[in-house]
Amino acid sequence: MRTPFHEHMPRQALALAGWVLFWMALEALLRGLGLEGHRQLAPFLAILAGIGAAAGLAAPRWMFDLLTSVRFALTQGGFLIAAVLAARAVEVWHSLWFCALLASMDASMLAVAWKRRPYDLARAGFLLVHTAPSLVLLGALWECAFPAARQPGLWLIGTGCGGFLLGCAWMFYLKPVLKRRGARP
Amino acid sequence: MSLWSALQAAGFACVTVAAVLELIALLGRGPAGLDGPPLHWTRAGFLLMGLALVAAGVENGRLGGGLWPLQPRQQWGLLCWLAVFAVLHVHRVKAFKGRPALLAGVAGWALAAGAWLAWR
Repeated sequence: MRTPFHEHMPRQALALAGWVLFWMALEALLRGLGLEGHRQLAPFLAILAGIGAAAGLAAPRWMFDLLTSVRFALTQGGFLIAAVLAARAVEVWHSLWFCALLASMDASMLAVAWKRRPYDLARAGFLLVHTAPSLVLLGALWECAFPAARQPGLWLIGTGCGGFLLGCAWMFYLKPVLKRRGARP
Repeated sequence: MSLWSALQAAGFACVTVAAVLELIALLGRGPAGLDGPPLHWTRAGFLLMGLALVAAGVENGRLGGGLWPLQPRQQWGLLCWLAVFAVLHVHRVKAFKGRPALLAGVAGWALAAGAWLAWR
């Protein structure tokens, strides 16, 4: 039997490489056209792509299955590790493709959070862990868009980081206690 | 020693303990999977390294730069955190439970340690 796409990591890696290459090509095109300040556009475009992917979730089932697959999270993690390693040699952090990778990861996390409904106390940690990074990305987007008024962006980033860490602690240490006490049947 | 360094060192120490336990398990002298003490140490390391990344961002912000960890040492912290992220997700895949998860744990630690040796 043929392995479905959301469980086939090599094909996922190929698809993700295509996604990254598309944004690399777009960045090269923008640079070639001499568009000044295109780097400031990167977070906007990446977040827009993420929103587009999230909006498209309702239509194709395979995309929802892909975005909520743990194997796809692993594939994305592998690409992020490669990006950190590549950052030693080339400019990564402000590139369009890196923002696109983060946006795809964010779409995955939001889709996973959506999939785990209904929420209860034991799942609050999971929900926090998978939604807080969106706040961090929104904060980063604010910082790029309005460098003169950084405060709201910093608040978003701080809240996102705090929420993520609190969610981790909840999931790792509080959830087992709640489960033992029967908070979740 | 800055707060970032202290938290990162504590996190990496936890992951190192987890890697040793995973190696012992791989040699057949412990539990057959990541569940139990190796997972507890890995999770503690993930949490501490996450805190370290936040501390790094605050440090960078105070120094007047951006929040993103751009210094090489902080990039190494980010790499360690991502490696542990991968290990924790490998553990969630049914097909990878048992020895593959243990191998992933040891490989993640090896990647982080190798990067530290190469980047220091």
